[in-house]
Amino acid sequence: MTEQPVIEVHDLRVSLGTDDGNIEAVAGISFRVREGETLALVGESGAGKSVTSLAIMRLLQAGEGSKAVGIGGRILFRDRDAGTIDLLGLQPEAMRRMRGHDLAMIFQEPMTCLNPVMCVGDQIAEAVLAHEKVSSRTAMTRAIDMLRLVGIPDPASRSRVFPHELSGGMRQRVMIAMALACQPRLLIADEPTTALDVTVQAQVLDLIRRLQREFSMGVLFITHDLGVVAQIADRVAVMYAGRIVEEAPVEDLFAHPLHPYTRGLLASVPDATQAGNIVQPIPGSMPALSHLPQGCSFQPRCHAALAGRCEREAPPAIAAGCRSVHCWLHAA
Amino acid sequence: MLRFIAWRLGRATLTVMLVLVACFTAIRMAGSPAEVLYPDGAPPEQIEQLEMQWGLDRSLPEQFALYVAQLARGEFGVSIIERRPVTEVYGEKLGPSLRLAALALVIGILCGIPLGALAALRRGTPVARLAMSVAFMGYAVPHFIIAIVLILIFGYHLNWLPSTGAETASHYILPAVTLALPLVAAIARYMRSTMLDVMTLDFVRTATAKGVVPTRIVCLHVIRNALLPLITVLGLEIAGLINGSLIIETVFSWPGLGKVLTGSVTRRDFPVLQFGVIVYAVAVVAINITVDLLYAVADPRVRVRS
Amino acid sequence: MNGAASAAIEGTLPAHALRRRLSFSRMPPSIKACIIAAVMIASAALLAQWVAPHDPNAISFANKLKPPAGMDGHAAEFLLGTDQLGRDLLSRCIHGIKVSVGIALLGLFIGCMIGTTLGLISGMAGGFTDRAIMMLVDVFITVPNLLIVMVGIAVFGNDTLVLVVLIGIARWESYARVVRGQVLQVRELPFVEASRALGAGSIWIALRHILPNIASPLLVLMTLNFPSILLLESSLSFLGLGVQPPTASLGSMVGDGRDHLIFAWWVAIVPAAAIVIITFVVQMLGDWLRDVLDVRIND
Repeated sequence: MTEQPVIEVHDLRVSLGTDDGNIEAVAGISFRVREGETLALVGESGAGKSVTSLAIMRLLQAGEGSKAVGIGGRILFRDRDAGTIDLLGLQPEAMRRMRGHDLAMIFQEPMTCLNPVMCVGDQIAEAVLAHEKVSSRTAMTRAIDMLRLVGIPDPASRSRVFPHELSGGMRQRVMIAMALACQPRLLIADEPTTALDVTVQAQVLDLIRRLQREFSMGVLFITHDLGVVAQIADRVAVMYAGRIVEEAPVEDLFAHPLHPYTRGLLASVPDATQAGNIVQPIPGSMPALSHLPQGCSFQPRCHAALAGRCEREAPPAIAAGCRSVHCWLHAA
Repeated sequence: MLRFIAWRLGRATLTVMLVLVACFTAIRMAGSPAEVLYPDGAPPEQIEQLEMQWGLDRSLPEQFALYVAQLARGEFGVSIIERRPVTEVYGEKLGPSLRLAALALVIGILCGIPLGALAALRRGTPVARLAMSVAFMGYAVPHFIIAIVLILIFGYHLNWLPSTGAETASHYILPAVTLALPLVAAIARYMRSTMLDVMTLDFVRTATAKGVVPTRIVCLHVIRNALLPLITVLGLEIAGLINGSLIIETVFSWPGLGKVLTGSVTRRDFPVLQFGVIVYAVAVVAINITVDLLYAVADPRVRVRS
Repeated sequence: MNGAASAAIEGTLPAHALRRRLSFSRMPPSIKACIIAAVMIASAALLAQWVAPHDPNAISFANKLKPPAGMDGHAAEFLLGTDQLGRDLLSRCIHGIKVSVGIALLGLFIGCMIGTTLGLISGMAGGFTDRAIMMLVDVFITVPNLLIVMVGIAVFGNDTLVLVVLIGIARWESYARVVRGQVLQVRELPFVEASRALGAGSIWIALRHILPNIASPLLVLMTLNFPSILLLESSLSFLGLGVQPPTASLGSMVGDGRDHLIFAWWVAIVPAAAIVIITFVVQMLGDWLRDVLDVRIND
């Protein structure tokens, strides 16, 4: 693991136009993912995690509930020649060439994310053919190799099956094979294990970790499941209402959570190792993005809120070693 | 797969049977079969033979069985008006009808699919609205009105195309286009609708995430999936095509089945009418089975399941 | 309780929401125009004798084949021109509307009656009856309806009454399927079970619980089917198989005009335009009604 960041996000802002006016789905977040490192992006539904990932891949589109999309900030990507590109400044065709080739994404629902009328081999080969000038036979061979790599038995004959003939876990492996076919430097995984059984979950997480080491990729792993975070993450960034409230190495976060929200999250997860552990839910719910409170977004639910300060200003990032937290409680 | 075919054939046979029952009943209601089939009066022995053949002294279900057997033997009777065997009256008419219908089908598909795809891909633009207005025209205006308008413009005023008969290739143009227009409209509307649905599906986003070229995404992912429901729609539109051909063949004096059949209605020429009805019914049923099979072959999900 | 339960069935809205959506001021201008046109068409149909400027059957060879207003050689009192027998086209059209729309509406109702009844029976009885009726539906969907009507005409003649019935039969299966679908849904609902437990018979359940819920889908379906029925009658009359002289429908007028297409195109085009306008107006209204009443026709 080197210190080289594969991707650096600076002050990313995403606003979506809905029937109720513009809402800021992501309100200025910054983070980086290094080579060989897995950064987990954690938060409740609606916190803005998926929007962040789609914004990085430039897959956000108007339609389906939002009328217009505005993205601001910078997303600096380090490509294979060690040059830095701002993904948000790329023309559509240039971005297309990067997708699948330099950065790739896997999604939550593998059944609906695969084309039902194409066999899986063709779909993986398609990823290769989109970026490299090779013959279709070569692409197919690569596809079969990828299937073998992700642990699908008898890959040659399996390459000719259709998605509906595979189990959920297999389909997710196919998605991973598709995403990694061109050995991208960054893999964005948007809740890839949420729809899978626990046992299959473990296998898929294992696979991702193994492939990460093999390809020296950075992984941005999005999830709401702290158990998964514990298994796979090197660093964790906690999101709340469109902002990152805390970022830390995984052991530090679990052992010493700084932000009241993080503390609340950890307390609301049942601990299997402690008998009689009381689960403490966080009172209230995350505010709608169209009606964010002034000042710190978490303040209405925070039991430790400082009267005055927390209501007036949103706290900036306060560094503490290799961690950072957005909370007035930890201001110097 | 075999079970699926067998089941569809069974249903098809049932449909044809019901049509035969209807024809049987219709002829019975129109008068005694001897009068209907051999109207010029026949010598008493022939009438007696007929009555035995038809089993008029037997129960209705038995009569029906005999009726079906007779049809199966190819005995469709003699035209009341022309005093010729029905099969002779229809003679060479099957070819022109088939050719016209086939041409209309091809035009419908070749024009309708791109029109619908265009309307879906360029949604909201004037181009899309124009495409859908054209489609609406074909849908809202009946065959015979399209026919006379086209005859008026292209047949008389511009004098580009002939409007009666079927001698040369150019004779095919007006009738085929008229027949095809409602089909183009229907296909365009359905294509647009299914494409809009497919474009929002997750796997299209996956293809974009892989970096696939947009043109290829449209052709291979969107259109290929949108074509599937279209196949079923095609089956439904066949009946409309036949409805239309009955009218078109009369308007354009096209020497086909439809013209003969339409002519036989006012003249109460039952043997001729019956033959036409049976042929059309069998054709529709056969086409529907083909369409179902086509769908089963095209959609891998159905293929594996059955 | 009924309000909540009926709202649970797709296709119905509580009364106040309905009233709001149907208020005249909220309609888009195109729909307002269509409603005005529909009212005009209906008045023409109902009040033909008083609205038409001339006797539609008044023959006058002196005035034959006069073109419509705005063209050379037109006669002032014949706004839309005359046909080959000197009859005023405007008056003939107005009466033609009466005949065509009249036949279509009657046929529509008959088809709706037949379809609803069979759909109800099919859904309530279940079992073999259900399958048999569905088989019949299958046949009627598969076999082209023009063909069916032609056979009917050959057997029963083309008396106007016969025409009405035959044309009405053309689309019965669309109502049957919708009603059957509704019945199948409602049958399973708890309050129907409760009614049954209280001793309510099937007919009472049908009338009390099912019919009110199918009112909007049926209304929309009728509006959407009206154009096809009108076109069916027009096509038949055009071919000479439908209404017979002296009765004239718009379709038969177009058919008569066919022979004069070269030099007097208006004889055919004027009634043809009337058909297109009526079809268009009803189509627009049907689509709008379907959106407003939130009806999804589930097959």
